[in-house]
Amino acid sequence: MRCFGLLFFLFSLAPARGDEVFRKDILPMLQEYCFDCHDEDTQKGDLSLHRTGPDFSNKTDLANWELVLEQLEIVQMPPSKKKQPSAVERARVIEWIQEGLIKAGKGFAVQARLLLPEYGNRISHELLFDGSIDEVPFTPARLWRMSPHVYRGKRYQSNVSGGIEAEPVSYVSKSSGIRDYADQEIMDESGFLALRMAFSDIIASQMHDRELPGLSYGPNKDKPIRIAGKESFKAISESDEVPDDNVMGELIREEFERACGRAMTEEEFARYLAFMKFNVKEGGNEAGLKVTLLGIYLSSEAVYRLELGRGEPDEHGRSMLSPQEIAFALAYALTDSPPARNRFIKEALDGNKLQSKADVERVLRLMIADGSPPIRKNLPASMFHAMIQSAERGYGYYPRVVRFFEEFFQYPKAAGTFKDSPGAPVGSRALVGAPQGHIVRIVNEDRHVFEELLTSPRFNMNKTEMIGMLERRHAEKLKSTPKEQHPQLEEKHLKMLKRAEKDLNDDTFRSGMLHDQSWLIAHSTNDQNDPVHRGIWVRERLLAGNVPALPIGVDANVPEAHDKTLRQRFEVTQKAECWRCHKTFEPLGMPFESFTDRGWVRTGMFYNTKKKIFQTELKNDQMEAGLKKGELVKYPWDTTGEITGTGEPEIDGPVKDASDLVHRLAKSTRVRQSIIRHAFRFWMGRNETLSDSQTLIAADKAYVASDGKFSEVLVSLLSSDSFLYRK
Amino acid sequence: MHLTRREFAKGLGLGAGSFALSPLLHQMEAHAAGRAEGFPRRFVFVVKSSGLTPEGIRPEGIEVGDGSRLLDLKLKDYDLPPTLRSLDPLKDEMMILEGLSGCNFQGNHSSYYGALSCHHSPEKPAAATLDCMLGKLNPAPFKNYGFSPNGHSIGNNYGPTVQDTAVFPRISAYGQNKPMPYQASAEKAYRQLFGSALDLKTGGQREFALNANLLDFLKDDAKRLAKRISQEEREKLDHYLAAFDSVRARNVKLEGMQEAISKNAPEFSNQYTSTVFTDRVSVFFDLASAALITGLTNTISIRADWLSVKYATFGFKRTSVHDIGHQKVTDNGLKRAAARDVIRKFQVEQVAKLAKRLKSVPEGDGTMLDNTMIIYFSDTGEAHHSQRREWPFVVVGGQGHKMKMAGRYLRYPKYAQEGHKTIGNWYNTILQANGGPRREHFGQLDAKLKDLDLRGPLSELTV
Repeated sequence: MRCFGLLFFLFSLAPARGDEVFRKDILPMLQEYCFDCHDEDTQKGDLSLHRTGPDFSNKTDLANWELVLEQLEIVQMPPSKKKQPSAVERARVIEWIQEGLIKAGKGFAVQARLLLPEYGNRISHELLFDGSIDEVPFTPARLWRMSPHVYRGKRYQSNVSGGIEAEPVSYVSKSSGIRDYADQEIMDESGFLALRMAFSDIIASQMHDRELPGLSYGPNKDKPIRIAGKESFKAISESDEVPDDNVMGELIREEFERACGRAMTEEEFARYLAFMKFNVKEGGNEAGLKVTLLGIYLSSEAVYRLELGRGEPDEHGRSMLSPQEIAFALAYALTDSPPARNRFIKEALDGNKLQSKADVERVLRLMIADGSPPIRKNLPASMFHAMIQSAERGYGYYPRVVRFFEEFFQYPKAAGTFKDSPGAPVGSRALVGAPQGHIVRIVNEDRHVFEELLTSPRFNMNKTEMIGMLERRHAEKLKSTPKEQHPQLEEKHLKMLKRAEKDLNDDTFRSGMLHDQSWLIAHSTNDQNDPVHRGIWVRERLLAGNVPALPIGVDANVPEAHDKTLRQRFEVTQKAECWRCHKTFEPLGMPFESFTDRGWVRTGMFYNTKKKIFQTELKNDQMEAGLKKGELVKYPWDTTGEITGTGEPEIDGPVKDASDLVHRLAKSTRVRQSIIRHAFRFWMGRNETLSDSQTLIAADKAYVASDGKFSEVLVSLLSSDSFLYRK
Repeated sequence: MHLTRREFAKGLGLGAGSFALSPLLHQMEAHAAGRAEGFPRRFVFVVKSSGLTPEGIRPEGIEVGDGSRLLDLKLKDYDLPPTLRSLDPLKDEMMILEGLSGCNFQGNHSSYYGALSCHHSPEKPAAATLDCMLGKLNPAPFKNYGFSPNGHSIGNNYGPTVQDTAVFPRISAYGQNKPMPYQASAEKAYRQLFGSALDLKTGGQREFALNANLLDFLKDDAKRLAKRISQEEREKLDHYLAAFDSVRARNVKLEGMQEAISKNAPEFSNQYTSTVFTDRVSVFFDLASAALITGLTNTISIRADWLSVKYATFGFKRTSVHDIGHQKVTDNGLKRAAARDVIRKFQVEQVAKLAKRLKSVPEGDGTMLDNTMIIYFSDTGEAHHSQRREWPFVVVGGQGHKMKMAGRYLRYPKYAQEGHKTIGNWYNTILQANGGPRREHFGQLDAKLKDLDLRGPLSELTV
């Protein structure tokens, strides 16, 4: 119940209990804000609170309170036109209902709401940022299951040719949100079996040299691929003699450090050596080696990160992470590799300089200033390559920084979004690589980062620019290539030019990530724009808002009618029972009608009179020919929408189109704070609670004071009490 | 007709010298478990991609009219369609089931976990799937085993698919958020299933014997850590500790089966390392029959293909299953329907091969096939781009499963008509007939069918 305590501090009310609390605190608020519509006479939505009492063991009351809790948390009730309770009043009722639910045995449901990333926005934004909370922040002491990326970073496989590295564990969290949450990820039997299966494969494949069948294409077609085994493994597995203690000892030390990220103690060494000796004696060299390695790779410390807070407790009962724990926390905050691989962390740890907040801040600033070289994984090989590849370094290249923006914007999903209409001119890898390049550069430039991400014109996929870039690259390539290869290069170049010429347009207004093809495609369906998911994304990610869960029994399908415009298809959501929820996101998603479902700037909406359908995607030449023949009729399209719920008069209000939308959002305080809340979740591996208010406010201030440096947000978050203290 | 022991072994092609005592072993185990029926109920789910078209499996001459009536016909009165001919000898031991729907389990070209859990779950499992539930009800050393020629590697939803390690084809799940891994490598599957009793260089009995030592060591290690952490965090570690105990219990079972395993283990051949797609699938079916006969598992799931697969064996070298679904003519000039026929024929032949092998093993008064239900269907209903208003099934065997399936063609009234039923009803039927709890419905209900009575199992099938 530790986590509930975080909320309860707000209201250390008198020892009043049960009925009395209800009568004194809750009932008056219900009377003031709810009874207008939900008393005996009106009973709107079939809900009467008039007779709902504080008895949570009563089934009807319990169900009613659950309903009320949901509506209060997502700030749907009271309706915006009615008198609103203050944030504190709202939180008071929420807390009271949660308490009641826990007592009624519904603790798990309450806990899930607090812990799961999809409920992150339920904590009042106003209370988090209004400065009224002065509780000292901390994170509960915890074991944190290693992420799939950390497994990759440990480099269990030295030689991976062609395929991808096995990631032995998957996230439980929704792929549409922040993934790595400490409370959610548990290693149980299914995880153990999957991990053992993967490690058995990995170990076995490194005990000998191997030969794989060749590729079916390319210059090395059908040439067998030779993969060397690991020398330290081969020395044992391929020997007929019992390995000597030194050979075994060295291997154990090395592999333990790989798995657990630290040198082993002498006591541990003795234990592992005895284990290996027994295994080799009983099972022979090969089986003995494999089982020993499994023992190391599957040890508890290799599957869980430990963040227990080993320092002395302070006056608030919190303990700071130990220097060793800080080293891990910092390494895994920015990279996927253990602390020993980062010189700043290693030096600080060895020199006993990871003891205080100031120490942490110093190391962080060094890491940020030093940056990371561009990561090559996930980068496209095709024409966008040069946009990303460079010799520069920057903190935006740290894998975890890249991943935060991936998880925040969700653009990598574009690569997996299947499109029925004709192919995009660039491959799906480029679709993801291009925005990644832009984001990293914006982060590295470190000025008004959020505003740039939302409005920068560099996201334009401009035909003229693209052709210019291709020409420049081609000229450079010619210089560095022997003459006899030039005809080949010319041919390839002409092909690319032709493609760009045919498929690209000169965009004019594309600004920021939400106008990028990848984001638009990631938030679209097979063949249509998807104002619902786009709107939900904006509501949740940028406006720290909540969208009600889809009511059970509602068939939320917008008809797939190709002879209707998007607005006509969405007429079904205008019904009162749909619109109550849809109004929270649909007006935010509709302005993206400025683009087609493939993320091209819309140049028209074309009705095909022959096929009697709206064409979702047309190439320029097809469009011109169709219009000429009269087979196509151009329709107007509607890009209007509305921003609501920021509470900022200059932001809220009707929106003209996608451009207007993002430029307005970029100016919003709430949007800035919402991004910071998501960054908090990503780096703390948990939802914020009210007691993290001071951490969030500090990060927000750091951003504003530095003219929008994301690096300052990082330093602020990662040296905060929320990050460093455990309880 | 039952084969002699020698013929059986030969027909099995598994190289086991003699007829193993495994059915006897089952009988003993069953008696020990106090089961009246005496034999385990076995299940093989064969899941194809890109839809299974009702027309493709419908016996010749059956007219469905406007589809509003329930059709209940005898298969023996009709010829099976050409692609199902390999099942001719098993006509009175099979059922063709049509007309069920599963509209609300959506996904991109696949309902993924939804196909067997009846929960909308395209990304991660929302609930346990039918195969895993049945695996739990009919325990064996491996509660479930899955084969998949390829799939996404662990933890990678969007990356390339892999072929030589454990993969997650997103079909089966032990429960919410607990996806079940399938094995893509026949070689590794062989070691996992049979290694405990074989003298192999890697993964053989020498390694198996060390497992107890490994589990002890890991347990000791976890306990050392547990001493240093608070009670609350210890709960997380307890899950890990419980895994060691559970695996150990399974190993003990395997130890008791050494003789059966070594007798039934297939001969390791270069087929196990073949990269030819159809060979790989064929080996999966061989491994499946050997694992069932040995008693290593009672529930097997086989992912028969996937959208990106190219059936080069049949001349579709550059045309994937997905391309075919999109009307692309294959390299050798076949149009969609013809190409799909070729693929279906191959898959059904594999099913027939498996069924015949099981039929050759006597069990009680009948054969192993009587106690094994092979269910062939698609993860996405009736078409490549499906609406899942129809979700056809071909069921072979399982006459001892307490359902009236033998020799039947059963077609339910079409979507939303009176008498229409869903795959949830069908799964409910299977589950209840095989020891599952009685429940009103299986999985999520279709909101559009709220006027129909979709409670309970399919009464046409219940005994």
